[in-house]
Amino acid sequence: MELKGRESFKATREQIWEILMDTPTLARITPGISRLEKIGDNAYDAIADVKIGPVKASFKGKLTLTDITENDSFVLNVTQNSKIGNVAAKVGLNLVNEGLNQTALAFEGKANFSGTLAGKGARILSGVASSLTKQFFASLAEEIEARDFPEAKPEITQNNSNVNLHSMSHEIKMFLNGKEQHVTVESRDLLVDVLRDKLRLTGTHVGCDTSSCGACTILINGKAVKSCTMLAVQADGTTVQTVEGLATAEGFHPIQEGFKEEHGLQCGFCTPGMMMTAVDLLQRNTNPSEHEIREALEGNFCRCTGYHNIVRAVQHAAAKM
Amino acid sequence: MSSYIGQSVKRLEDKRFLTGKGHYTDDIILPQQTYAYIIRSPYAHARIVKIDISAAESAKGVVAIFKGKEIADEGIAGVPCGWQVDFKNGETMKEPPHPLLVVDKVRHLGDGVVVVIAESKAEARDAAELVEIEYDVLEAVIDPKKAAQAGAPLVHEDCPNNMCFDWELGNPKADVDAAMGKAHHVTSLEFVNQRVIPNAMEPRAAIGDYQVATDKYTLYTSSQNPHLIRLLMCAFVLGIPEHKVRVVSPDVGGGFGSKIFHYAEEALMIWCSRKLERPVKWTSDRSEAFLTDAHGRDHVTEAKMGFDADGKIMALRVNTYANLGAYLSTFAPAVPTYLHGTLMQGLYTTPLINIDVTATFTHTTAVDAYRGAGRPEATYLLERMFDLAALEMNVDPAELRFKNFIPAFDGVEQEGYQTQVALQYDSGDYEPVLKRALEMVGYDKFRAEQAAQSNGKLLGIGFSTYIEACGIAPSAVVGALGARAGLYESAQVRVQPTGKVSVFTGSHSHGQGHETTFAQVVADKMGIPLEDVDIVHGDSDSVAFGMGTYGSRSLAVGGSAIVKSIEKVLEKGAKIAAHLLEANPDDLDYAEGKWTVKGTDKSVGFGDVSLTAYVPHNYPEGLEPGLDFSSFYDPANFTYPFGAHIAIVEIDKETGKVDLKRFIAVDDVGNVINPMIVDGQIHGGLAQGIGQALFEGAIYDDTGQLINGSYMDYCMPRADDLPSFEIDRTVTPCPHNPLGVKGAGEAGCIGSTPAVVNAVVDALWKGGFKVKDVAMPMTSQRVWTAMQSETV
Repeated sequence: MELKGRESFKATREQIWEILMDTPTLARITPGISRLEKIGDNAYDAIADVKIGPVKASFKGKLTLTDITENDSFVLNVTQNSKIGNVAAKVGLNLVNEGLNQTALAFEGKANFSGTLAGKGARILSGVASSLTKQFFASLAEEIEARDFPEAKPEITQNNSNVNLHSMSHEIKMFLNGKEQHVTVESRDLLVDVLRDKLRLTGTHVGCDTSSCGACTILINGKAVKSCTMLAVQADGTTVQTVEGLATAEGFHPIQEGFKEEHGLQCGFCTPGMMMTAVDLLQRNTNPSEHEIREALEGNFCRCTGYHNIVRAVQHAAAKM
Repeated sequence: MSSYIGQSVKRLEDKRFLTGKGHYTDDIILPQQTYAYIIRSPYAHARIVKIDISAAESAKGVVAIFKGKEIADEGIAGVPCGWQVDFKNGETMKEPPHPLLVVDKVRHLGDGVVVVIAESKAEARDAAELVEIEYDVLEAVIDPKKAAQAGAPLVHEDCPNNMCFDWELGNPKADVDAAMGKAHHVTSLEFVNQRVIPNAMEPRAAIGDYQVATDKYTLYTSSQNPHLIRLLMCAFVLGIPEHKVRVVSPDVGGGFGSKIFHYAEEALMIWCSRKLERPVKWTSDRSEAFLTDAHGRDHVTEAKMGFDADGKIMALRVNTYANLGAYLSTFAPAVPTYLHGTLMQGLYTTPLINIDVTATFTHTTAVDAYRGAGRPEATYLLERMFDLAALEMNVDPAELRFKNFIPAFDGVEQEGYQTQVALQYDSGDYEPVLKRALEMVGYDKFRAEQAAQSNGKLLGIGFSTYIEACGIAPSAVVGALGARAGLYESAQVRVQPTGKVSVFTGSHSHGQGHETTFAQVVADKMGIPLEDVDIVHGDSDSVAFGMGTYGSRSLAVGGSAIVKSIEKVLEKGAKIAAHLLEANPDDLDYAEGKWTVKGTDKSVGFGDVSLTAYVPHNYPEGLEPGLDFSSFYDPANFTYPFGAHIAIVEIDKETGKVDLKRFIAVDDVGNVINPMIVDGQIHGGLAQGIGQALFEGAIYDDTGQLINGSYMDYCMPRADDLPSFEIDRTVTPCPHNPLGVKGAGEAGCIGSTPAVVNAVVDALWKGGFKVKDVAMPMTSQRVWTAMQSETV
């Protein structure tokens, strides 16, 4: 079973980390846990009572934390045994900085079941998992509120009298065009500016200041996003693809091929954003009609081609993909 | 070797754009670079009372802050105008200064007031927020006709009635009026050809880089016209030595006219860089582009067209007020006059024509050439009049055109056609384009369908048969018409020792695909592979000189210059080949990359000849080494592409929404080097012309606020607003340039606009509404309102 979730909390990454590493608190806020005992560095004994459908079962087993990066992420390994079967799970947890005093807790992983438990059916099991997650998130939010952490303040620069609300910097991590990329950004930096000015990927363009033209379109976690409408910090932990990542060692991506073969570009300025939007479309719809292509591209301006050959370029790519 | 000319060769420049490796001005970051932010006027007309920069000066990252006064104090008056049109009475046009930053008064929304330079873009903007400017707001005038009326607020104190010039062309008014008086039918129309905003997708950007150690300046600028920018900036703005200045226009993301002109920001960045001895970059954001890129069109026109009982035109009388904006942009005076008045003949035999133009200043952004420049306005006027006359006289609009077309002439056997408005057309055959367009549209069938339409929608068809003057332009002719520059083009063909060829052209490509089209010409004429040719453009250090790209001139003028240099290369090559073959140059044939002695199999290849030219051990006596030639080509005449456009629209009766169902364009642009690229040029032009008809238009309120100055408000055509286009062409070669080409960049934009408006009016009229005109852009609201009026 796939496990996946994300929730935002009003706290810094450091503050949430403090709670997650505090064994008694964690035992208290995790639903069903009746005992949690530290048995070594990053290893715990745990007893949990969970109701699965009509059956109430008591699980006994071990939790271990691996791949720990302080204030950022760890992997949780669970092996629990009970009369009705065993659970083995491996879940990655990530704290994502979403801004001043705002952090997301994201997790993603897999659980395997054996014994009669396995026969309970995926729907019931995932229902249980999602309800436990919900409870956990709610308890964590309560705990954060109860602790009444001091609010993180923006850094104040001392060299002039103006309070600079913008200088707080963050290190973010993206999986950019197939490679892990760390970069330090200011809170207010737009993703497009970081890509262009800091990372020098200048294929992503800026054509407007109202998120209307689409020249800055890139793929984030596989979906077309206007990178002028997103803060760089919001890209932390995401997979980012820009035009520079389209071609492979084998050659052009079919959409690049299509644009070349059908003369889908003239000045080339809108082209990267146009192609990324088209890739998003072709992932959702492998054989779009002309009408569907035109609708999908309506967030991207082209002033040179009248769109005529862009439509043909996308059709060309669709036929190849 | 296969012939390249006439083939749809895939573009050689595409790879860098498709992989994100294009190189636009804003992509450049120089060592030690600083960032400029220009604080612009929030008012259209105001006196500056006070500027307080004290808080900003101490803000984080600020390097310098400059005001207009500091520039003016150095005796720098501002950017000049490149074209002079005199008043009818012979007085010189009014040419008020256009400062880099204003000193005491702002004259349009977005006028530059203060430049803040900082270590980063963000810091420059932060500091700009701390600059306090106090304005005393004054009354503004926006409309070009109202501007000329007594009592209108003055844009410049020394320009009475806001007049820049008045101008007249054609036959005497009395003769035209007399003919009009005898006409069987007179069609009259008053209309506004509204202001549109070019909106190249790449906003303008400029980097000034002064290097004190070498005393050299480099300007990187998003321009269609780098050499002319250098000339104007050095000689007329900053007074700096031209040989110390390099201007680079790297990849440019579209221009459509708006990047022809020398803008204040270019000279300002160079001036700032000299002050700071560091590079200074300015990149326009889109909101700024709306306020500072030169706008297009903005004519208020009254026209009368008289017909005899057979439907032949007897006379045309036109009166236009042209809005020039607050300052004179580089080519502004030419647009409503020599690029507009001279096109009033159209494709027709009109024997008497008079056009009168009054050009005024208003408190708006400067107006200058935008794709077509004057010719779309002329075509709009003629073609609206034609469909309207057909409607009023109850004759078929296509028939009315056939009746009035100038008979075919090739410019070789038959002379060019002398118009009543100065120009002499080079070659033309007008009936076939309209016949072909009618065939494509299935005209008879369409009319039957239209009559039977009963789905709550109104179907309409509109025509436009246009001519344009392109291949701009013979220097002596434009000089006589007021141009302050020649309009030739330069080309250098440098054969490298190994036989590879570098071509340096003064034309500038910003989407037109010159790197492919020009290479096709070179490879074909020299009989070498396409990949052996490299086209270099956009850098004044590499290219000897250039007049840039606009007016559909690159291939007709720039391409012709390349051909001239190729001829010189082959002539010299023949001398070297003859020496190597021990033959007479006259006895050699050149084909497929080698010289062959006629009637023998003795030959020598291009590569051997080029190597010999640079390693001249066995060499003709008295001949210079090297194989490298420059040429300047000055055209003998303009070129005159033409075509027929047909629009079919469907109007929703309930909402007034216009749906463009089909668009048919048959254009004749002379010979075609790369059909794929020419088709692409036509498509793009059509979208812009259709954009003006249906969507686009700058809206100023009475105080001079541009109320649709962003993409949230200014409606540009999107992919789902347009149909796929149906296009075809005929070929009538240009008789006076070596390639026989006429130019294709503006055709689509010139012909399409009136076809769409004519189609909407046809739909409404045939649908029973007594509507003879709908103002552009024809929004749902305007069309719906028109349908609430009287029915036929």
